[in-house]
Amino acid sequence: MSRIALAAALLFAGFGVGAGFSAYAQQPYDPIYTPASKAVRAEQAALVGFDQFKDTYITTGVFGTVLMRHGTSDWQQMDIPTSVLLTSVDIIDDDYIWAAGHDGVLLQSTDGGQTWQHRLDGTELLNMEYPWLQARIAEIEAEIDSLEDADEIDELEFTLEELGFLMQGLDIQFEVGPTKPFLDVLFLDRSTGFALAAYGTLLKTINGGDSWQILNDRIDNPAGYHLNKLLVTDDNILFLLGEYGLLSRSDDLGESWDALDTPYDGSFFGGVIDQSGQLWIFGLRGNVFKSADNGESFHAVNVPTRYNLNNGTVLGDGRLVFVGQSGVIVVIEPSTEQAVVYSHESSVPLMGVRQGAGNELILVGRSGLQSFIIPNGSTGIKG
Amino acid sequence: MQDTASVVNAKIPLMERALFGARTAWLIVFVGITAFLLYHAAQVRPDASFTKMIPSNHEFVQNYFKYGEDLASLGNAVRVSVETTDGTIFNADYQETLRLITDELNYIPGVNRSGIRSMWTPNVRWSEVTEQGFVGGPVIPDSYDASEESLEQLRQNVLRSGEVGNLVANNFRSALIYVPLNEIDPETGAQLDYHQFSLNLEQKIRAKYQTDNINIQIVGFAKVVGDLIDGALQVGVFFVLAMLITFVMLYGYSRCVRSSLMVLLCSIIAVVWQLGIINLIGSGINPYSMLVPFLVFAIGVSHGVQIITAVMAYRVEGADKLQASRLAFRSLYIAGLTALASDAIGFTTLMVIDIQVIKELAIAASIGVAVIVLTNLGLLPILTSYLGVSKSGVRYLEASQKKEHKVLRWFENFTTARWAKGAVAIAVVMAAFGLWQGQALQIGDLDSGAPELRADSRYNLDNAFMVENYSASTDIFVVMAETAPGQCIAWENMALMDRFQWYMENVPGVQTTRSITYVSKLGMAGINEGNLKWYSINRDNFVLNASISQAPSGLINRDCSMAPMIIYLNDHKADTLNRVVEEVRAFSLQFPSEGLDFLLASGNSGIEAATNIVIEEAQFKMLVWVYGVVIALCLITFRSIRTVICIVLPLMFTTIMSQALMAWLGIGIKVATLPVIALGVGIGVDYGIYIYSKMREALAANMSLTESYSYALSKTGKAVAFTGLTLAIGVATWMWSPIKFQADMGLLLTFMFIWNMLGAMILIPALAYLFKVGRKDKQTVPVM
Repeated sequence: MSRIALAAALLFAGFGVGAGFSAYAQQPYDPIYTPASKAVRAEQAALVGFDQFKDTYITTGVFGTVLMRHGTSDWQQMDIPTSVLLTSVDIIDDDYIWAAGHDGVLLQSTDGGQTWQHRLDGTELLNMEYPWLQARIAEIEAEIDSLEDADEIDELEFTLEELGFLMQGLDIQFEVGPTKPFLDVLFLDRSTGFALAAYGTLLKTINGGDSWQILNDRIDNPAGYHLNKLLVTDDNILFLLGEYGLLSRSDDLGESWDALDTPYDGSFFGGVIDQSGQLWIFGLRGNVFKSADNGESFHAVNVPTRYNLNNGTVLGDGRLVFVGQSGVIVVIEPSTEQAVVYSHESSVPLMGVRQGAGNELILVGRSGLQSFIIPNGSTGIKG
Repeated sequence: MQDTASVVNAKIPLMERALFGARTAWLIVFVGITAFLLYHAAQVRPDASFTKMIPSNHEFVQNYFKYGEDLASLGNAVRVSVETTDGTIFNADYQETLRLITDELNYIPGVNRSGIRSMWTPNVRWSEVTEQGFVGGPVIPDSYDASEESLEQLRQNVLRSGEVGNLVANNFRSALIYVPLNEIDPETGAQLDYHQFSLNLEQKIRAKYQTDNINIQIVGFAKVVGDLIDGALQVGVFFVLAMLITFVMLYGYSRCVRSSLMVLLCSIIAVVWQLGIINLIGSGINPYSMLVPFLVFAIGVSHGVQIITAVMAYRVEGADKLQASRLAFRSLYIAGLTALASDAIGFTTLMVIDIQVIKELAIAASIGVAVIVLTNLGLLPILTSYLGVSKSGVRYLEASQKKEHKVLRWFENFTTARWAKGAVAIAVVMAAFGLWQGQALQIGDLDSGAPELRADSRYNLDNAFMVENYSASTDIFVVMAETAPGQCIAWENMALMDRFQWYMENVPGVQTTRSITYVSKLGMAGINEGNLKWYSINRDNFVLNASISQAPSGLINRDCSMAPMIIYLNDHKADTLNRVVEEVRAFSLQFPSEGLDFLLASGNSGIEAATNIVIEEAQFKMLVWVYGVVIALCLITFRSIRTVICIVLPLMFTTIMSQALMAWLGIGIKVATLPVIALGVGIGVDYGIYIYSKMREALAANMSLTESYSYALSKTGKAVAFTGLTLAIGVATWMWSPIKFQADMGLLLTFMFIWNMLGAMILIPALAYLFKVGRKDKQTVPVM
């Protein structure tokens, strides 16, 4: 009871802070509801989220920094009502954009990025997770009571133990404040969307973010590994990528998930679907895998780099570009699987890549916005 | 003042009777005191304490002192760069040299051995994330055997270590050894001897390992201080030079070896007394107060010359050597006392600058001037009364008195309408230009690197090398984030510090920032396989603690009540520093916090910001005081406002012009140059006092202005011109000092002494003309 009262108090405090701009300075600093400052060096801020729709580019990063540009206009920093690290951004159409960040923050714009609203914060997320987890525990306990097979009971007790740890984690968050970071956000249209968070959290909405459903238990992820990336094919097949080789597929818009045989134990950070519908996934230490059969089977693609690959895109001519740590840029010809590795002069971790004009790549990463021209006919360098 | 003595005696001033009544006794007393003080002067020690050079009472410095010990491990280090001019650092010979130097540095006293970092120390490691988690090892492969393979392995490790730009130059042609120092030796408790430490670096590292293809660069605060002490000591040589030049000039002026030596001797005695007294009151000599013996010597000579000239003049008139000495004393002691008193009091106004070295300079200079009263107004006439002056000198003076002195005659023109108006008009135009130019005058040091040393000094060349080849500015401003003990890494404090860093990074002039929050965010990404989507301060204290488990020391203090926010600046211009100070305050207003205070300021730039603030406040106060004192003294002596204006306006003109010169040469107002203005005014007024007191004698005898000025020039003109040159030469030698601020002081003082002299000789008669002093209506002339 007291916990719920505390949660209510936190929630109230959260809204109280958010409601009055004049009031926020009197409160202890909390980035969730402190608006981002306009920064002369916003373009050099660490930027980790990146998306493109038509000729609109948007990137998000530390201290609530969101930069947008249309075509080749100057980048413009938007007014953002939070200062948390925004990890991911998804443009749905000309008007609707979602951004996800640390401390359980989800933001939405319905006017093409001009204004932004809080749609979820960590306190609200905790208030969803807590009863959900209680129900789960009760469910498993009931199931254990009904079982007789010792092995099955053992297995469920293991799950119960894991859930107990998660409960402890929630308890801590009730005390210190909501900390769970969203790591990816993806909307299929204005109503249906997903948000992925650390420790195996998967949220789904079917009403444009008015309410969210927790789908953590639909994935085979008992240890609560981080969920890093969600990909969708033209046929609305979903691929979920995560820590320690976690890879799942859903053919029913996330309601059920099948664990795929992972070709690799390390973490996956991203992937792309190429123009011929093949799935490419990549992650730790330059590991790249390709599947031509929607994840039924994979084979390793030889990419001569040891650096983590973080993000990728498909160029207009069908080539693939993956970027990663230490400024590594990999250009792949999907038909021949021939990979050329370049190194950006900045040598900083790159977290996002989209095609600019022609051979120009727009890059984001620890040093902010950067660009790179893919050399014609070059063989690249060894990374 | 009436006395029971005879009528003849009653006309003789008390002072003169006191002095000449017991000549022998006085002589013995002087010899005794000199011997005593010589003994003490020999024990004066150079003293370059850092804390004395900064405004200790300023809030910033007080905050710095509060956490000085915690910040020491962060800041007090030297960086030794080993550069190869032959290929890259991935070469067996080079690596062997680097290893030897790293080892050698371990054995230099003062070095904190556990903190040394180089490619060859085991605490420099590479790491990377693999499927199994973190893997890593020392940058030098365990199997290193100088083979091509192991050098290639070394290269790989360096690239993975994140040390490029830090310990390894961006162009791979040099590598650093980071050498933290112990200010206090943990075993013996002894204070670090900067001079000896710097000497050790030169002898045991630079001299030993620098070859045709290996260059050594050394930077760091300890090296600056060492070089400073070294350079300051070299200035001692200049004293001998100044003495020799002065002797030659004295002889040229008087053509009398005997009196030249007497003046020199008395002036040297003044210096001995001054140094002896300094030692007796427990003070040392710092790079700033080192100027004082030069000034004391030069001022002593200038006053001595007046005495000698007067003695000779009375000899020409036929007095015997005792009589001539007494008359010389009688005619000069009031002007001399006034002049010296204005010097001494002028110097004491420097006390308004709350910086210990300047206060010491003020005290030393005031003592020096007080001593001159005794040696050159007291001892010198006694000496001349015994030894007399040589016949050749008297003959030379007699001959030169008969001869029209063309240059001096020329100055008389300025008592005539055309010349007077012209001179004043030109001065007004120049002053206007000076004021305009002087607006560009800046507070603080403007040059890059260590501003104490010259731009082309070894140190600053090394510093430029570091800036060019490594990625860190040497202008460091530290804000101390203060919390309750144990709270420095509490989430709410870390989050605000993080915001503070971002805020400061957006201030123009700030290059980048570092602090525990940066380490924590990188640590968060590190824990999460290098994924930057975790690059944030985590609310969970367990996670937060884990994120800083690899943090280098010095980013939080022992009881976790303070975390330094390190701000790297593009430069240390006053504008930049002011902006940083303002923005730190603005942030605290925008994000008030009960548990966290952002205290200004430490780091070389933080201290400099405090110094600039103190200097800026003191600047106006000091000018008001020094002019106030000079005006009051002139008023007491001459009892005439017009006279005061005639004497003070030329001084102001010089002040304006010297500020314009500073602006033009890019010399800022700083600890070294602010006192120069007070010294220039305090000493500069002497010329006016000597000239005007002679003019007054003539005006009292109802002479016209031109006649009066002519009289003053004939009596004292040569001596004034000589004094200006002597003073100028005494300090001009400083322009060759290896220490930039000493050179600046020398240059400015030379300029001020010469301009003050010219100002007195040209503008005093011109202004006197304009103010209608002694022209037609002689009765109304305010001569007294």
